Amino acid sequence: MKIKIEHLIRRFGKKNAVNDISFEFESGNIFGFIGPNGAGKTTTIKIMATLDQPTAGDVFFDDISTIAYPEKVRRIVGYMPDSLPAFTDIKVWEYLDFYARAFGLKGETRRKTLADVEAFTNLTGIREKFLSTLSKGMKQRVSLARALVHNPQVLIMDEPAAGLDPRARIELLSLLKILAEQGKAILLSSHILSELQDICDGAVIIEQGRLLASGPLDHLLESAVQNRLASTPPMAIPQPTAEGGGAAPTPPPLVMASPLIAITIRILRDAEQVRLKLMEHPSVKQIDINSPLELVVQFDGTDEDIPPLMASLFAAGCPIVGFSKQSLGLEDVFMRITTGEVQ
Amino acid sequence: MKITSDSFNPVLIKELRQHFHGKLFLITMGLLLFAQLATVFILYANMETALANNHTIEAMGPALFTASLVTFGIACVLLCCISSLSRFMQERINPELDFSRFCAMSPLQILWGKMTSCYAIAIYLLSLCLPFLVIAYFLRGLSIINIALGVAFAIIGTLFAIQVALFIGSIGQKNLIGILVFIALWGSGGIASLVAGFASRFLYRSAIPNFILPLCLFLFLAFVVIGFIFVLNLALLSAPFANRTMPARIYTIALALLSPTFGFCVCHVPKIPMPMTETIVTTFFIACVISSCLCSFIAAFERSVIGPRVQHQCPQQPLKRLGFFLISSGSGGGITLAWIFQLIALAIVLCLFPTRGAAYSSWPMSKVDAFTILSFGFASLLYTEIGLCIHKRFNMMPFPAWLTTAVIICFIPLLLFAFASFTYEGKGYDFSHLLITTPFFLIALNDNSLEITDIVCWFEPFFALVAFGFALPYIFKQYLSLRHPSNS
Repeated sequence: MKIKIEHLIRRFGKKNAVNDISFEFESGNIFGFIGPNGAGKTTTIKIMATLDQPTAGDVFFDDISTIAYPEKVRRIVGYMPDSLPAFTDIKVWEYLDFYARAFGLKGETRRKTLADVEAFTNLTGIREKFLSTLSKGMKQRVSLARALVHNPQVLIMDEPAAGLDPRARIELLSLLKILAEQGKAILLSSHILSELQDICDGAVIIEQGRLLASGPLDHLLESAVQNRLASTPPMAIPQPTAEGGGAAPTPPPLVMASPLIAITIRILRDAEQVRLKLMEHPSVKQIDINSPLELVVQFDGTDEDIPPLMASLFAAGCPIVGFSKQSLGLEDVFMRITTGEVQ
Repeated sequence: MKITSDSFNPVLIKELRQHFHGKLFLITMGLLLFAQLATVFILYANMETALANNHTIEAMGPALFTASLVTFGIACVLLCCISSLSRFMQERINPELDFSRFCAMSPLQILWGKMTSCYAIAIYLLSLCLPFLVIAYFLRGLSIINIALGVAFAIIGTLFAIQVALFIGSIGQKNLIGILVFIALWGSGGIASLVAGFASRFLYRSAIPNFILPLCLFLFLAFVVIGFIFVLNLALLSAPFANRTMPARIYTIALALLSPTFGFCVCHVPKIPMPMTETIVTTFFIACVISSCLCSFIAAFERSVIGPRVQHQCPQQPLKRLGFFLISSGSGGGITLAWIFQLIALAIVLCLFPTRGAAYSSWPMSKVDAFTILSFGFASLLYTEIGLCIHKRFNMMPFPAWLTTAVIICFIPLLLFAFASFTYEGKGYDFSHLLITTPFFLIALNDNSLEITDIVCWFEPFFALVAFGFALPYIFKQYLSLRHPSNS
């Protein structure tokens, strides 16, 4: 199934909560939906879950429009809000049973589905407990079970891990991985970006209702590397002057078209010697000495060029104890793309 | 055929489970049985004394019957109304958790489930009272008809109370107090004077020999109100951007179209010599005015912007589109439909009703009476139209449209009163000229103030028409915006 968000706009009075957002994702993928508070994430999610309607634009689930066919969309989508279920005087199994019936499951099919969902979300042991007596983590599980009870092809989750303890969070994320492997498309809004990075195949970043970036995670990270160099020009490598030692910084170089690879090199001693040795290499564009025992090298080349570079350093007797290719995280991408402004 | 729980409405099953888990259920059951047993014991204890004083025990039957019905009523209010209402409200307080928004059930299914669960509990409570009702019968002083009538009225009262409870529950807590005040403003004078007026003007004057006609009228009005609250509940349960008022509009149309059937039935009530044609026309006329008032009332709550979901449902053919405009959400369609009802009613009055002085002919009411009733519809239109104009003209978007109309309902009668006082100053009218401020009390006027009645009857249509002129651009704009996206 392909989920397409097309030119989505949602206005509240004069304020544009969502401003012409378009992106798409597919079954079997977990897509992170990232943005600061008030960015328009929940509004977008509500429109996708048919809880709200757009001022313009539409969301399509395999060509089924949320505007024209909200009833059909509700059967396709499992929605897990950031609020917890608040029914009173009802047991866990009765709560899930109600939703199973509400989605038209009958007889043995309903019983089997409920047993499966309870087992999957680890609720079997507490099914006879009243909903109001459960902890927040348990209620989140119930909420997830409720969203899964009609076996939706798409799961839309608004801050599902908020307020959970680390163990519950890890368990929830592992459940999501399994669901994605089963072929469900999952859109997940969260503020815990490091965890999103571990499980997401792609991400959408919005701010002030506008789309800043979207796509597979690798592409986002790669483009962020490029953007970093384009937006924050690094200090150039100090060139020895004729007078012999002046290391005055030169103006920033022009923006480079191809991405650079950053390599962190840890050494035992002689940082300056290693730096000079690295400068001899034509592909090295920038060297930062993070600490007396660590250098970060911006290297214009591919992964294939890294072993010869390191081999040349070893051959020159540089006291290297370790090295690693540096990569940007989702948090870095988020911080670089967003401005932190609120509508 | 095997009946399983799958045959029942999911909401009914959920509600019953919640009822039986709740502490209130056990407490109410206990109190119900205790109260009735206590009544029996008190009556038994008094029986000895009554017999010793040579009194009969025939008063004990009605006493037990009354006690049983009262305890049944209290238990119903607690369990069917308050408990269901609070649960419904809690379910709807957070839109993200409101299952009516994201599960696959229609508002009708949800409301039907809620209602049937309340009725099931009411029947359960009544079954607990039945042994005591049987004892009441055997204690004498009551006939089976008395008991049946008492139970029937209790059931109608319960139906009404359950609808009102579900209505309040489906409003949610956000606008609850304001909307209830609005309804009280709108309906207080109207309902009271309607009942009083019908009784004094149409029933007693024609000296109908039994209570069947008033009973029929009462039942008709009771079911009209219950039905109207039901369709309002449906509208409240639908998504705000759905075509939520369509059931209510269809209800008003159906009410007008089916009203002749009621007139036909009344003509066939034994011992009531009612002329067939006149009764049917009069019933249709009254139903048109009621439908017009209901349409205006709903229009006061409606949005003025047509959303994409409603646009998607709009037919592409011009004539069908016009018909869809009348039954689709939006204040413009509501006001237009109310005007159509009013104009039909006006045409009936002008063409068919007898002139003044012919009030005691074969027609159930005279032209003056008919104009008086008609002024209800015009006043409702007037309030709604001015509310819409002010709301749009001053761009009062943060405030709901009904709030503007509520202010208008308070303000316009004062304005009319001031206008009338200024115009007719010094002509020596009695206190009844105060009634010019609102049409709701016209129906209770006596014949001495016919002149005032005439004035008001012409004021209301005139002002309603002027207000319609002001509201027309907004209504027309709404009509233009209601088009299928493929036509845009």
